[in-house]
This record gives sequence, structure tokens and C-alpha cells, in this order.
Amino acid sequence: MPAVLGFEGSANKIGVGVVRDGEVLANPRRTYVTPPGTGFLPADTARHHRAVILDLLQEALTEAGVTSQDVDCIAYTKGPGMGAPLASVAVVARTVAQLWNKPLLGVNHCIGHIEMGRLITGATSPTVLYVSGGNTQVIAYSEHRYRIFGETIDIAVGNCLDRFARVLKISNDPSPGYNIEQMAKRGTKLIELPYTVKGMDVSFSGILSFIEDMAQRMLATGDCTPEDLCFSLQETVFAMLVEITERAMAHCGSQEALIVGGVGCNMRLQEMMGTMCQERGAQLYATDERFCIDNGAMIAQAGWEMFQAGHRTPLSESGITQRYRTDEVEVTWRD
Amino acid sequence: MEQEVGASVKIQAATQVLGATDLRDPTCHERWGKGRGLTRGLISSSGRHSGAGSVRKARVDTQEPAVGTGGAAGGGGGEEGEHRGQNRPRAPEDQRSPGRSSAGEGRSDDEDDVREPRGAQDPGNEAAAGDPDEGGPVQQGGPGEGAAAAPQDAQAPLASGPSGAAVMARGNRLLEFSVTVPFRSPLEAHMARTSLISNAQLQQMMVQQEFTVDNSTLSARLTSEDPILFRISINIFHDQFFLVLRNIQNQELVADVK
Repeated sequence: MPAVLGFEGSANKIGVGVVRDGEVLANPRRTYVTPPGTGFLPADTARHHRAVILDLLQEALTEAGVTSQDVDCIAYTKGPGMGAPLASVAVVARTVAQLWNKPLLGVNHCIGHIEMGRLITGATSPTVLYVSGGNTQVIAYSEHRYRIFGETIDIAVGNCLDRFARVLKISNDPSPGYNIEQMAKRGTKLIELPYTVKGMDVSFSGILSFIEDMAQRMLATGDCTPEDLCFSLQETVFAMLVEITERAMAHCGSQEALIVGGVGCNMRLQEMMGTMCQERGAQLYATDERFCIDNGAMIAQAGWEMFQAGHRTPLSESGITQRYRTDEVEVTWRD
Repeated sequence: MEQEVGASVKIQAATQVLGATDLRDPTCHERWGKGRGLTRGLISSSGRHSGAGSVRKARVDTQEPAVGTGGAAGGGGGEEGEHRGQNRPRAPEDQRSPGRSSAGEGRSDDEDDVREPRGAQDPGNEAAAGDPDEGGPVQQGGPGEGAAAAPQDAQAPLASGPSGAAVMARGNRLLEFSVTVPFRSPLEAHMARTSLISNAQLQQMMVQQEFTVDNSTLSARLTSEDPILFRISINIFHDQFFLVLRNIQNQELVADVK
């Protein structure tokens, strides 16, 4: 029963997880939160990660009740993500792997989300909607690859929401998306915003520019409230996501949909996706914030699958890759 | 460590072994310590690090160009957090040290960023760039004057220690930084090299980094023609190096001795 230790730190969350045979033994996490109206920069984020990662490692081992000798493999996020945070976490993973004399595995962050979603929900072969601050993709498995059927052609949906939160100076604690969701629940007026779906792909930069430009004017004139803006933005971008997911499901003949990624925690998105699936006679799967949001256990789980399939990452090839595509990985652990 | 370079412009670090006499030359500092924009890199370690990679303290004087856009070595192309607002978030270490600049990797592409010498830091955790409280000739005079004149004059190098960090500027503006670090064992030195080299390979286009191990001593050498990337890379090296050191100290050594 191999146990895998996973390090995740591609964005502002740093997590260390321990997984053994499909059981999450530990999954502590820390989030680098910046003041309202600001985002997180690579250097500051990396500095945060370096400050907490070793304590987090000890916390994970203690929580899991394992020692270095019980761990069979060290997994880390190879990419995609922000360069400086990725590099800092990778340095620790390499060092731990050498100190403990364990094999090292570089994991694709997106595949980590997918594998954790499959583990937690039990979905067999779903169409995956992967939505986070850094990624927006519609993915389906085919012939040993997670194929990208549709994606954003510019910014991720989470990035759109986060940057809009800065405009309104919405708090980043616990996350800007969560606070937008809470405000949206109190919105009553739907404001028409640019709806941009291009075939299987989506675009969010236009809607962001539009709402950034008109938000202050409309708020100043009292035409709407911040809650109305949050509500309208969510309704519009989530509808776009539902459309491209449904299109992918129709193309694949899929009867399962799985939402992963930080934005997947949003209950309104889950509701809209659930309505679409119900109309199609399909099943919707989603996880809670423990596994939706970036975490170490998802890297450990993907690493566990890869380790069982015989994957190894030589130390000489254990660099990070900021642009690591989901379909670059050969998924040998699935039929 | 001292090297003669083509244009006879030499910036050489004063090096210091922990506990030994500080090598300071006020006259050298007057040539190199003045002028605006001069930054200093200080490698130091506390007693906690002794025995697991004690670091020779080295003071590095680097001529820094005017603030402007530059490369993003080590900064990453993250899709999040690209913000140039006035309310700049401060990382936890910045918040503990009010005088510390948040300049470093990933900030070179921010035109609003004003780089200032770093203040005092926990010497056990990170390299502190430009710590005037550490003493020495670098406290005297204003930065920039001597540095601005450096490319024109044939300057004598700063006093150097037996081995340690050195920064050179060549006539073609190739900057070089080198440092040697003794470890407890060859295995630890190799571990540190292996942990650091993979990240360094990403930046080889603009900043060349070389890590070599001789017995239980790790030597690092960084060269670049871009002064901004050069400074950023040194900072990155410091940050990651001390992370490796702390990791080695915290974890039990299970690996077989080779």
C-alpha cells in the first residue's frame, strides 16, 4: 500500500498532502491573502510559500501519522502555474526526495484536480469542467490523454472574478470568488454583459474590461449595486461555461459531468451545471472546498496513480513548467 | 576570488568568514559604495545553520542601473496577481521588517516598483541585500557616484577574502557573481546542488548559472549581461539556497552515503 506525499504551490495556496491507496491521510493548506484591491505577485507568493512549507510538511506527516520511511514517493506540482512559487516548492520536493531517498514525481496541476475529483466523487469517465483562477478548460479522457475540448482563449474565469473583486475592493479573505458569490446572492438586477463563446472556447477579457469600465459609472449613478454587478457577472460567465460543457458532453456522448478547480466551489455554478445535466439526463459531480481549491492531496493522489503506473521523474528533469498543458501527459494508469 | 577583466572594471566583494576579522577598506568603499542605486547582497547564516552548510559571509557590491522594465527571470508568467496598484501587498517577511523592500524576483516588470536596499533580516533564513547595519565601509557616502564612474576608470578591486563571493563587471557588461559554501559532507553538498540546478536551467538564456561540488564544498557562479536579471537571479539563488539549508536541517538524513 504505497503512500505518496504531494506538494502543491502553483498559485497563492500552498498545500502538502498524504494519500495512501485512495485515502487522504492529511491535507493541510495555507493561503497567501493580500489586501483588498490587490492581487498576489509571484515573488511575494513564493516568499510566503518558503516561509511556511517546511512547517506544513511536518504538519502533514504528523496528521497522517507517517514518517519519512512510510512514504514511498514524493510528488510535486511541475506546472502549470506561477514560476517563482512553483520553483520554491519544487526545491523542497527535490531536497526531501534526496534526503529520504525516495523517487520523485512531477505532476500536472490540472490532472491533480481531475484525479482528486474522480477519487472523491467516484465518477467513471466524466466530462470535466476545470475552472480556477489560472485555468478554464473543458476536458474529456480519450486514449490515454486528457483532451482539451474547449478552453478560455485569454484569461481564466477565476481570474476574471478575482480582478473584478479588486475593482470593488472586495476582500480576498478567504477568497475573492467566495465573497463575490456571497454578494451575488443579494443581487436582484441582471445587467447585460458581453457574452463571448467562440465555438468550444470562451473569452473573459472582454467582459472584464466592460464591467471594469462601467462598474464605477453605474455605481456612481445608482443604476445598480455592487451586489447586482456580482450577480450579473456570475450569471453571464457561468452560463458561458455551462454552454461549452454541454457542447462537449454532446460531442462525447457523455452522461457525467465533473466540476473541479477553485471556482468549482461556487454553488451557483454547481446549480446551473446541475440544471443542464438534469435536462440531458446526465449526472453532475462536484467536490467541496477541501478538494476543489488547490491542495496537496490532489497532487499526492495523481502522484499515487502515476507511481503505481511506473512513472518516475529523474532529478535531472525535475524542473518546473509554467505552461504545462493538460494533454501533454500520457495517462497510462487508465484504460 | 578575483578576476582581471577586459575593461579593467572590477567590483569585488569583501568576504568574511564567520568569526574572522572583517575585511573592510574605507578607501575602496568610497570608490564603490557611493552613488544612487547601489545594492548589496549579504550572505549570512546564524548559528542554527552551522554544521549543515555554514556559509561564508560575503558582501557583494553591485552597480545597479536606473529603475525600469526588465526581464522576468524567476518571476513567472502567472495569470494571477499581475497588479500594479498603489496598495502593494507585503509578504510576511516584508511585514516583519518594515525597512525591507519587496523587490526581488518577479518584480522586474513592474514599472511602479522602486527598489530600495533591503533592511535587516533574520540572518538564518534569507540573504539580506544591502544591510547597512552589518557595518563596513558600505555605510559611508551615498550610493551611485562611485558606481557611475566605475566603467570609465580603472579601479582597484575591493579587498577579498580567501574564498567567497565576488562580483565582476566586464567591459561588455558581463556581470559575474560567485560564492562557495562548505557543507558537512559531500552528500549534502551534492543534494544542495541537485536541488538548485534544475531551477537554474530554466534561466540559462539570460543568466548562466553553474553549480559545482568539490568534496563537501558547493560553488555557485552566476553570470549575465543584464544587470537587472543578474540581481534578481542572485536574490533567487539566495532564497532557494537557504530554503534547501533549512530543509536539510529539518529533515532526517535517510539517504545512503555515496
